[in-house]
Amino acid sequence: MDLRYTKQQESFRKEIRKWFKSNVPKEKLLSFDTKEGFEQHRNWEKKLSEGGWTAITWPKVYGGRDCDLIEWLIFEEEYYLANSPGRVNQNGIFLLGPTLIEYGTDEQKERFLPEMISGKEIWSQAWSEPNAGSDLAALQCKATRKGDKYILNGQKTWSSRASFADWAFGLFRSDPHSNRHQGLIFLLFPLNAEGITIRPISQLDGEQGFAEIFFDNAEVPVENIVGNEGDGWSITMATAGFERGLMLRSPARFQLTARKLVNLYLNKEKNASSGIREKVIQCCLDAEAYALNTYWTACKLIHGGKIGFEASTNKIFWSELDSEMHELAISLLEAEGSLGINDQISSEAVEWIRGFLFSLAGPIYAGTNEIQRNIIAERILGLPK
Amino acid sequence: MDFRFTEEQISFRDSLKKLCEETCKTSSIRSLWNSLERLDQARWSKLIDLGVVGSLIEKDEGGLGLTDIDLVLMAEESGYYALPEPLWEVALSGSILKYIPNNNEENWKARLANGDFFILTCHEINKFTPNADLADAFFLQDGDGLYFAPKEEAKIIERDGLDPSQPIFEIKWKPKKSKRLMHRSESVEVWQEILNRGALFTSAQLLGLTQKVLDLSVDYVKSREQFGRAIGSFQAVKHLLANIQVKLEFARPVVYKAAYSLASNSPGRYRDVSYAKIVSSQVSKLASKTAIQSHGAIGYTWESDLQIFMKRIWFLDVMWGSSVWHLKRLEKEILSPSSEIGPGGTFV
Repeated sequence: MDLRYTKQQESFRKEIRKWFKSNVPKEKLLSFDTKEGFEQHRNWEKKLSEGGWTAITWPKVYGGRDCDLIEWLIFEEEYYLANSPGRVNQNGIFLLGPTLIEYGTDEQKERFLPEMISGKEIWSQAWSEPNAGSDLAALQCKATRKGDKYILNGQKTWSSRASFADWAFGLFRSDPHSNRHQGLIFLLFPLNAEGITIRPISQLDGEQGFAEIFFDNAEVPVENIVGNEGDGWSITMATAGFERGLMLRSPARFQLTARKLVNLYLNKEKNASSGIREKVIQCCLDAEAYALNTYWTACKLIHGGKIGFEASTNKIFWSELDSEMHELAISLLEAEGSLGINDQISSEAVEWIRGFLFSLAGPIYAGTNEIQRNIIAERILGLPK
Repeated sequence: MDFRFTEEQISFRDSLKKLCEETCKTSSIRSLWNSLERLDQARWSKLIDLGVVGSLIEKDEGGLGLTDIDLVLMAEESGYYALPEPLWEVALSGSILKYIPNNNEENWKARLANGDFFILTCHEINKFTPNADLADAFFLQDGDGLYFAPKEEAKIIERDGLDPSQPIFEIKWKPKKSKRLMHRSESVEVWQEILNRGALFTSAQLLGLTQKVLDLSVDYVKSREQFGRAIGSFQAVKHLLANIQVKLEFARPVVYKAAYSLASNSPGRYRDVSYAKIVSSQVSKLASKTAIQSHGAIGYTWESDLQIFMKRIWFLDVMWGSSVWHLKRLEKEILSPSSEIGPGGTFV
């Protein structure tokens, strides 16, 4: 065990710090769940790609830097320290990209990865349907093979970023006689295709972070299938698999929130109860524990270790921590905690309120925490179904 | 950056695991409760042979010359079996002999390492000293330094402890100037180190104990049937146990990092040890509560082995600083504008 960064890691950190210091926009960008903010964030993705920072863990041939997970953790720490904008193309960079690198054809990699890296094409996801949420395998959306095309019919919903994005990936049923996990395909499709209608859904904050997607005989070329017919479920599981689970929410994000919470507490200390004081400390400890656990797992993975169902424990831990920190902040803000997200005067409070609203989604998206607890109980602890 | 144990450290742990598996069954733990024997001599001599008690003493002085990071997995494992013998307490006393001048004529180090000389260290943070009746001598704390007292000079008063495997004692003693080994000024840091190491060993044992009560609960809910099915198939039960799994997984690296910080004498070791004691106390207490709940009435009986592990948890929870004490110790450091809380602060 040696918990010191190497010289190379330290100088990598310096390199990142330097670039971000001079490239992070001085003005805070608008939310990427608005049309204007979305384009601002697309420009940020472009800028990141000019610096070579879009997807540092990808292989160099696809525009990455071949970084290992420790370098990724360092990168994320600097990314958040610099108060950088959020990643509007996270569906592409962290979920689809690695999936294509693993399962895609050479043509698919060549076609999609460069546009993903440059920010020219922003991706959304299309998993859930009105009757397939936690029970994703109940999905009904059809992809019927007709010559060299799939004809899509049905409806997807809660598709993150679909309101303004360019492309989406998702699961469809290509075998009409199949059920559950069989007969599914993992498919890529442009959101502007004929026969596709996007209906943005206003979220709790009033912005349009997700959308419904309606398919009415929309045609997609067969070369847009990732893997083979029938592989859809296993590829989806790989997409949501641990390493991605690890990278979906880096510790730095919560460490930054913990830091801000400490600062907020120090400003409001006079009126805060000792109960809140202890909870703030506890959040700091938990944010550190999350970081330590991620480093621990990253080291295991780098050295060829195998990972099981830890994505589920991870998801529960960070989402509950995030929720707790934002609830505490709202309590500390007192009257300002009742402001809306468009208030122009208290920008600090507004940031907490945005975060508070979003923290309520954490235990729901990417598999509800109840589903995650079932997975832990059944797959890790071996309890009966 | 390499957050892994070496193969050697893992195999050292495995050798203790094997020893416990063979000699520290719950029946053996229970048999000591009603016996006049205070130690399982066979087990104790095997533990001595393993070298743990002298592990923190230098190699050329009869010990193994190991550090906290070599021992933390073993301490965890000893918790898993609720090992009753005061392995870690004696090892802890061994670790401070190097600071104590002029002890060579009595050859304490070698005698402690081979099990002939049983020194316990009484830090004022612990009101009670477990297993004091077994000690040949004590290191004791007084306002002006660190003292040595052979057992004849200390009066030990037995109290009724909650954990039947850990008899506890109050120690009454009058400091004798001639027995002062270190003055106040030099001893302050040594006492801090003792506290940190005691808290670390305790945290590690709590991890093992948590794993144990979780395993016992999982086994029970898999086999116990009600309404025609295993109660472990009900979500309400599953989720209780899943919560422990989550918290335990996130507590482990915190404790391991504390061991690293202590072994490498890092300036952040106070903070890291307090983190470790807080998270391990929290998860183990929640685990014992959850374990008894998932066992139902059988978990509330003397007959159930669950009590062996729960009571050790409750005992260790208050040793070497409760989580409340450690939270207080951290408070100023965390709640400050210049604290290391934030991205990039983890390994500073």
